[in-house]
Amino acid sequence: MTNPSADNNPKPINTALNKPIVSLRNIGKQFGKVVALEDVNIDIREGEIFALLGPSGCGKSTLLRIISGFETPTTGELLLDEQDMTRMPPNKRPVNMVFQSYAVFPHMSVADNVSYGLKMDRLARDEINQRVSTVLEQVHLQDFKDRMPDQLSGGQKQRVALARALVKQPRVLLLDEPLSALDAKLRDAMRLELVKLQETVGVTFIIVTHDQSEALAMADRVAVLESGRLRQVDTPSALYQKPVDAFVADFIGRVHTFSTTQIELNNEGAKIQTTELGTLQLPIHTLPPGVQAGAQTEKGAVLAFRPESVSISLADDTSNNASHDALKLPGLLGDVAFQGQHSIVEVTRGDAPSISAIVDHSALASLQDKPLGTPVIAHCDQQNLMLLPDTLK
Amino acid sequence: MNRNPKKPFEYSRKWSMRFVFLITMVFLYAPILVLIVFSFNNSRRGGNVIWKGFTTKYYAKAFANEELMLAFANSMTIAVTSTIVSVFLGAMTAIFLWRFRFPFKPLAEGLVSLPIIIPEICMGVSLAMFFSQMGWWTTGNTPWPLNLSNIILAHITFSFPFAAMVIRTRLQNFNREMEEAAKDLGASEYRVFKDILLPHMKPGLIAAALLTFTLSLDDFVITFFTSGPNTVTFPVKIYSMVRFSITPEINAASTLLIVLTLILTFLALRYQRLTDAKHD
Repeated sequence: MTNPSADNNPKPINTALNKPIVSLRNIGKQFGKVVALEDVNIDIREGEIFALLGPSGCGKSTLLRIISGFETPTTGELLLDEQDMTRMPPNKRPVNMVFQSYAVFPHMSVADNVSYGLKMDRLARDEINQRVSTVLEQVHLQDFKDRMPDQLSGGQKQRVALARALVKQPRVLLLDEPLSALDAKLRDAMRLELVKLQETVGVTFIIVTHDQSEALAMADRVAVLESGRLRQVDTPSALYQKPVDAFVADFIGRVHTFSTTQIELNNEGAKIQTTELGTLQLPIHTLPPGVQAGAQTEKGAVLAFRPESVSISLADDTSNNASHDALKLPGLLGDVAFQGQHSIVEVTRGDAPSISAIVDHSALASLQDKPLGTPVIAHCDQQNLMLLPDTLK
Repeated sequence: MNRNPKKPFEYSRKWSMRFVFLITMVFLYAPILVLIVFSFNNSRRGGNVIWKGFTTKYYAKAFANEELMLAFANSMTIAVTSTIVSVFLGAMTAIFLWRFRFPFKPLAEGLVSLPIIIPEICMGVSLAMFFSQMGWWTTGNTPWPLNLSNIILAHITFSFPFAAMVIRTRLQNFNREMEEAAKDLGASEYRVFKDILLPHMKPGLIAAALLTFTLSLDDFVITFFTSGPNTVTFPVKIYSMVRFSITPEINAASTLLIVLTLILTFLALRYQRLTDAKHD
């Protein structure tokens, strides 16, 4: 085994060209009659931080357990460094895991916990000691070597779990909800530290999380799963800007969606009829996958935009500088929630769902002194409108 | 009381509660205390409630009583053997019931704990019949300690369900991720058991050993039905001595039994506290 901490090559900025280290091919998993995973195909590249993201019960943890070897897929295969690992027992895989509960052995000191895996590999005592002290330094626990786990804080226990897995110099490190057991402040600090640690050791990280902001902040690429199916694998910014469907759009950030009744392609793009917004002509020349031209059924396409792309002006403001082809939604001024950098303004629209807009301070200035219920118009530029297959429940 | 007013849950400051507590303590411990005190009474009759001066001669007499000492040796042999076997069986049963899912599991669980609720007298009679039916080979000539084998078997039968119950309770709060973590780090099934599960079970094993040892040491009913004339245990011997006449010697012997149990309990609790403070 090579020592990844010894080579000082910094992590490449772009891991997109790296070869895949973990390949999931048509992975399916059933527990009795319950389908946990269905035809999942992912290539995880060497050296990247890869996040498996989804709501609880989406199958992300099952996928992680398949990679670690604690579950065997019902169908499909798992390749690690191009070798079939589908049925390899967990203690024989070059993959290590940081458990959600950390699972630090309570009857062993920090050093004994960290050296346990190396003892199982029957390494020489000198090498064990040397590797343990290196990894303890990397996680800043060098002064806690002889402590027992009950003398450690939650954050320190997590470092022990990290060190214990990293000391084995795994090809891939699996982290199951690594930040969920920490309090909010520690979580933010640990986020950064995990990314830095990954840069130092260069090991591929696969992180399971239900927290989209965590995945977006840490991962190089994110796989979004929902009810056992893979929805999209992409970089955080691509997920945000080009979601493949309404579920992803709503899970990564927030969206307002409007159902459509009819879509026709013509020379200028797409003519879209909606129940709420009337008929719109958008410069969309090819329909996204999953959206068909013609009459739309209940599960057809939706028009969506994010609160960030909404701007608000007073209804009687004639110096309206929004472009003339923007979507205009009249409504009444609702609550304004101050968020520091920006504010979230609610526009109520009678029985229709209200619209939230995220506006900065300068945009807020004109609304500041207006009473609740002042007539306003919510604008959204055409380029920010997304036509997506409706996968929301 | 001129201190702060009583708060609703400060039961210890209510006189009614203090009274109930006092009465409870008196009924629980007064007889034992009297027994111990009168083991030092310089009187020929143990049931004599008149204090006639301090003496330790009845302890000397008890130690010199060969039959009593043989009964004591028998009891210790039975208790030690049945404890070792019971804890082993109990641990196996507990792990089996905790770890695996199989058809009719609730039935198996019920059957294992049945000896706990079956009246001792029924078990005593059934075991006595069982041994005589199958012609168990303990006769007057069977050499010691083999002549104790049927009592040992009987004790294992009634005490291993207790051991299983105690150990299973301990296993219930084992974090299964710990086991997976060890496997993930390269441990085999055997190493997981030895390095992770066994240390976790240790307090449970000690508690189970203590429980089964005391159960065996002071069991009377089942032993009475399965013991022969040459295989008298300590409690059975004391019973026959009481039937003859109550002397301070019996008080002394009983006190020894109490002291022994107390020392064992103290050691076990102390050990458990030490391991708990270190690990949990």
